[in-house]
Amino acid sequence: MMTTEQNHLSELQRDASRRQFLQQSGLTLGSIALTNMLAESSAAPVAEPMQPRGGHFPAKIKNVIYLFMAGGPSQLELFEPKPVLNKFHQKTPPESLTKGRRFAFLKPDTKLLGCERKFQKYGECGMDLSDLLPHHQNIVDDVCWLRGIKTDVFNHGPAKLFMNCGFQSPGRPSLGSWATYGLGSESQNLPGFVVLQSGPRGPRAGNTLWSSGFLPTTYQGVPFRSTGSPILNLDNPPGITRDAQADFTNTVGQLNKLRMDVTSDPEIATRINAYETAFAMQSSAPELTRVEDESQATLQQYGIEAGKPSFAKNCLLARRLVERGTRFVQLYHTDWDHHGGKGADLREAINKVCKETDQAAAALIIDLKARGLLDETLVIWGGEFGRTPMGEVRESIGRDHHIDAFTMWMAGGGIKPGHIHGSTDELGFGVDTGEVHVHDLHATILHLMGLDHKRLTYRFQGRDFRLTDVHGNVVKEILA
Amino acid sequence: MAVLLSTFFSASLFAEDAPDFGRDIRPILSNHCFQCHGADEAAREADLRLDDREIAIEMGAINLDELSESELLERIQSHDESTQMPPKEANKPLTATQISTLEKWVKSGADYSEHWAFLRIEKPTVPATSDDPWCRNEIDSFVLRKLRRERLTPAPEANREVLIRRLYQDLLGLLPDPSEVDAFLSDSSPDAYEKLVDRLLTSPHYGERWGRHWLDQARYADSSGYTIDGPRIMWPYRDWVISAINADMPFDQFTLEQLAGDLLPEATKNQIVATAFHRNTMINQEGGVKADQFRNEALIDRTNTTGAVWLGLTVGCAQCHSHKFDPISHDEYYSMYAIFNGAADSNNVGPTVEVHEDEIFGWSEEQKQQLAELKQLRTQVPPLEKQVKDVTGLSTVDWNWQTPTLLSHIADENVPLKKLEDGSLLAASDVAPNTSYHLEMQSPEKEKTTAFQLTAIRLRVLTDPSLPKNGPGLASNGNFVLTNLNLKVAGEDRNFSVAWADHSQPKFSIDGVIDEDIKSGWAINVDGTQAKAGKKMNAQHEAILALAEPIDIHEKTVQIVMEHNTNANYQVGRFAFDLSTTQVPAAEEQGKVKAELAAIKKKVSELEAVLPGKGKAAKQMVIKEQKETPKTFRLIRGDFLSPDEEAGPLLPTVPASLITTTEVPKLETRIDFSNWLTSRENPLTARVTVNRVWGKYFGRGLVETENDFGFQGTVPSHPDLLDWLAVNLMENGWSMKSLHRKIVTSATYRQASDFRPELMQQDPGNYLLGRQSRFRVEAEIVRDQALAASGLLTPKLGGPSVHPPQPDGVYNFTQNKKSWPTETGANRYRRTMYTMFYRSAPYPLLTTFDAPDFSTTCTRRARSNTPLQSLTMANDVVFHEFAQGLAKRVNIDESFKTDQEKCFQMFRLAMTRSPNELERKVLMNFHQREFERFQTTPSAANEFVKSDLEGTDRIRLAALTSLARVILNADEFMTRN
Repeated sequence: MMTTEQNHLSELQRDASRRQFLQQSGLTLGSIALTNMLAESSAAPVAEPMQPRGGHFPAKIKNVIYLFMAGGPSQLELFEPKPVLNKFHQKTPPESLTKGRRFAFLKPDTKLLGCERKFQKYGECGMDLSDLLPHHQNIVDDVCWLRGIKTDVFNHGPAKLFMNCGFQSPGRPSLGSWATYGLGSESQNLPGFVVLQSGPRGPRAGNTLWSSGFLPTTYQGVPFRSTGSPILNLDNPPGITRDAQADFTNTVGQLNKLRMDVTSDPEIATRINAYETAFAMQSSAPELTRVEDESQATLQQYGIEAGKPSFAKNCLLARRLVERGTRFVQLYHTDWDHHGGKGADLREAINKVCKETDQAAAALIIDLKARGLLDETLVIWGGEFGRTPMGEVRESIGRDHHIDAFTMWMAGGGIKPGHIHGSTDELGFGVDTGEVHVHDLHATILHLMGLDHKRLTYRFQGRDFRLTDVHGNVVKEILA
Repeated sequence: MAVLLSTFFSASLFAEDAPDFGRDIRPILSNHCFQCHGADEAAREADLRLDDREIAIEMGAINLDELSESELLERIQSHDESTQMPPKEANKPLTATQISTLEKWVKSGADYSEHWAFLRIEKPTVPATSDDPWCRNEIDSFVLRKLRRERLTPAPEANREVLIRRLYQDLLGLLPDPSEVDAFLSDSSPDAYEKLVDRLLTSPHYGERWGRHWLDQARYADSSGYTIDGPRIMWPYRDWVISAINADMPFDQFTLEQLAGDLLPEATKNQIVATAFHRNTMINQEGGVKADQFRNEALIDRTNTTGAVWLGLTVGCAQCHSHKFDPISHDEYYSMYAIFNGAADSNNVGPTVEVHEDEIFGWSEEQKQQLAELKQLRTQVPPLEKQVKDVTGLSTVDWNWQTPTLLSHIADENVPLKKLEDGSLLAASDVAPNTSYHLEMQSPEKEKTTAFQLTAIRLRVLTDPSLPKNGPGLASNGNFVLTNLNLKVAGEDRNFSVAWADHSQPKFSIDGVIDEDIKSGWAINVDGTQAKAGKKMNAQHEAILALAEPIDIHEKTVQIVMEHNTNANYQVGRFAFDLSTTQVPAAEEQGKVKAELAAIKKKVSELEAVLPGKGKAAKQMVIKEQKETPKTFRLIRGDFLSPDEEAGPLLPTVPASLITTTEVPKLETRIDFSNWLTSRENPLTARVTVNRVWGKYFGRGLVETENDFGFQGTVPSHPDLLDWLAVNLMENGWSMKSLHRKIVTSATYRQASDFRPELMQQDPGNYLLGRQSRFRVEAEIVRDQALAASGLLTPKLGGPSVHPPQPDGVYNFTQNKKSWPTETGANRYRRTMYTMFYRSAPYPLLTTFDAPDFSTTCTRRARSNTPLQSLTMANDVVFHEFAQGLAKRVNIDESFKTDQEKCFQMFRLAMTRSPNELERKVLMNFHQREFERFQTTPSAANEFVKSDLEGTDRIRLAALTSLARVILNADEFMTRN
């Protein structure tokens, strides 16, 4: 699906879906020959925009959970021990390594910063982990480690956009939007693309990160609030009971059906359907967020404190979402931007953010695995860029944004578990082997979902747009 | 939808024998071949160009001697993967229909024609169908000709209720009032409809409605975008758009002022404000950004937006390389970029102009005079204030401060104040709230034997570790409010004439201590400005109070009472008094200056009260040229760090393929460029403009790809009509109101929108316009209609953006929390286009109903129909409020006696028609059920409706409100019929 031509046809899918809906609901549209609407599109899947559908080839996974570590975690403090870097602590790096590189805040002659953390190898794969991530030791052989990630842009907002949309300016669809555009979602009573947030503030660039860009807004991410009702306007107005809301929904539907009899406009059927789904969502969304229904053991495993919004709670929500069929869940956790200023250093601050995320991220993998969900889910962990081998000395120690080599990890169906892909030079400036550019990462994620990144296109302003633009190669080496 | 539609047209609606190159062939070649065999020299394979007939022949793709043996045909018919075209890896296989179309074309001579949209617009003849009685104007002749060709007839005219509602929605974005509907229904004159159209075209709301469409293209927003997304002032530009459209400013002038207003001779302020069209680009305020990088981003956006808005082209494709499909080369792209490269702003606020609220709409002479006066008066205030400060003179006197002999020092109820070693007094932290301090003292010890002419006292407030935050006050932050200080000498009240303090909290001046008002007083917190100036609250401060007349206190007792009358616990914590006999500066002078200052301030506030926005100026970002325009180079691969300096600088120009004249037009300045855009010879601007307007009225343009008039775009469904409208617009001096009038008075526009079963076979997509369209109104209009129906609308035009209620938690997902002071007055009910627009977190209603975030230009909005929209309409606090408004409106209207009448009237207010029999049943049954429910559970009624009206029957009002909610949620309410 989603070749250029079929892409056009997808616009006609809605008509077809109305027909399907009308059949299901026992409504008729008199003598309207709906089949003719599909004259050119017999191959097009018959579906609502969010109706689940297959991709270009069989998928390895159904759903994605993307743990976005906003701010840019330091690979050098977490995953990449560099004895040579420690040796040259406080030395100016050779010009050959810094020439041509651009940094947000640093001058190129800034001195190298050694790492103060203790590293050890873990698991059969022998992955290096620092003492900051003790819980990651438990998933080290479930995860595929990508040490050679490379991106193009070094400011937070543009880099986050690039990591999500493959383009550094707003206006393009995000990964989650492309996924739901391509595949719909198994759940019709919950949004197909959900965004969760934890940490002191929202991620830089805000809702453009989960924007559907030029795709229909149906495919944009729906942010869940961390307190109160997860979705805006989920609660009835005061004085309206659940029964009264049912009566309301039915009555609106009756008026709409009468109108449809007069105008024969199939769009009205879609509207009726939307109201019925909204009503269902009003109970399914609160049910989803009742994490207290989970066992005490599970809550402890994630490290969830009752009644407190947290990354841990969001990880559990993510599992509950994919259990219920949500296609794409993205968690943002702030703030990994450790420049060395007050509350943003590589001693205390990084320790704090690791404590906030380490246990729950590991628990999510273990929990998904125990429930047999890891095979059909892809979990991604990573930020918008990494951090420089050179140090920034403000109130404490820190590092600047680094785009040329940093670490991410992925785990789940179709991905080699306990595999280390890529390596970087002795100081961590660049990738030696196994470079994975953001476009490659995108191509690989879509591939796992059964989508060909070259064929998943959308015609906009006269051009077929792709998530990967004109780039991207599936990273075959990491596929199971 | 290029491929589908073109085959669709050629196959069914526009069947003709020989394929037409522009309509049938170019879309196929463009889609399947040009990527490797097109204009982009870098991507070209085998030196073959299929966009150029000569080269295609030269390279043997087309064999003129033996057309059927052309290699092009062999390749597309081949099943051999090594020779097959397009190659398998391109993933762009041709369908059987496409192959046979190409075959027909090659065999019939492989004629190339120029792309229709790049040809000069010629005025077509109006078809002879114009004598058909159905035709009301030229539009109808074109439409009818096409319908007849397919043996179809137009739909009947919609009834008058539908028509007036449609006109209100389309022209104003509001709903008609029942009285307006009645007037129209009962107007039997033959031109009743045209009179209505004319009336609506002069409504100021027309400028809002069509201004909003333009603002979409201008990517107008009230914030800077990217990550920080701080607020910015752009609303004067928004008001300029409304004003220009209301005045029917010709579109060529409208274009000129926005693209080059700053360069016009003796440019008016409005013309300079208009240039903000291209200041709607984003600014990245993040730390560590490189201004040159984001200046380049803004210039790219200006180039692309100009291409999209006026030319309907995707010039942005040529940013990194020559356009794959359209004849726009890499160089030509940067030559257009060069037109904008002189702008002075560089990822910053840059040049601004001062604008006052409503000024854009034109201030009266009186207002202008008042502003001049106000400005003049304002300049007088600071020197006078300084003088008043100085005129007390108290701070500059060389005082001989002396320590008095303290006789007693207590708070109310005889609670002692502790005397410290340095002689200062300290109140215990648990003294009673609002307690007063009572001190008795005599002249200083060493002066005891002689006269002591007391002229002034000094109060020092001091810090102490026992006080909250070290004091000097007892409030939890260390503040205090000293409301009065009374001084008696030998039991007789003595007045102070003037007072001075080294620091006072704004609105808590030391004057409050000596004035008549027992509530006003002196406090010492600091605001932002003071903090910046280094002022601190938790530090020692002093006040000097001068006596009106000196008095000898020799052997007399001085009694001082310090009162703390306002905030509980805001007493002074630690303090000391000093006495002086130094002469106080003359009071007369200071009195005079003070009086003068007071008079000026009074006049200032009077003028502020009558002037819009209190006569305060807003600084709006505008375009201004730098002294020297930077050179423009082609950017290799679009990378701003890789200018192709070797190739030399590029001069401003436009793509050669868009020039229809033999002479290349002069394009040195933005004025030249703008004039070229709207010249009679420009093949695109008028077509693109009328097409977008058409799309708003029919749900789709005559060219469906309204943002792509290039090779990849769809061909027009009615090419002659498009060109006729375009020429007509230019001949009418680019009057947009004339264009609107022409369209809405056509029979085509006035058709009913109901689906016609007989059309479903031949034209299910309604490309032939055999009926009007039904579609959901835009996000803003959904809310605006509810405001109109509920009678809550505040119709004021323009001004700073407002903050209607929005759900909590909107900023959980943004880097910065945004200030959102929810409106409580009339601004709560302003039209939605005035809602403060933050790009990183737009007003949720807008996003839910498909408004984009305006990071880039939006030439057409998507139209979705989702459960989240249903949740908004059903449950959003704003719509709950509107439902209550609608119910209250009919509830207090005494012309409707029964609940049933009230229910039907609500329906009529929302739908502009009365409910039919079946609908009445649905409405009344629901009303009855809700009435009974609220009767059984009155508490639910009390929760559901708020009423400040005495004697309102809550149960009845709640049942009406519940039904109002149903009505506002009906599909018909949010639909344009």
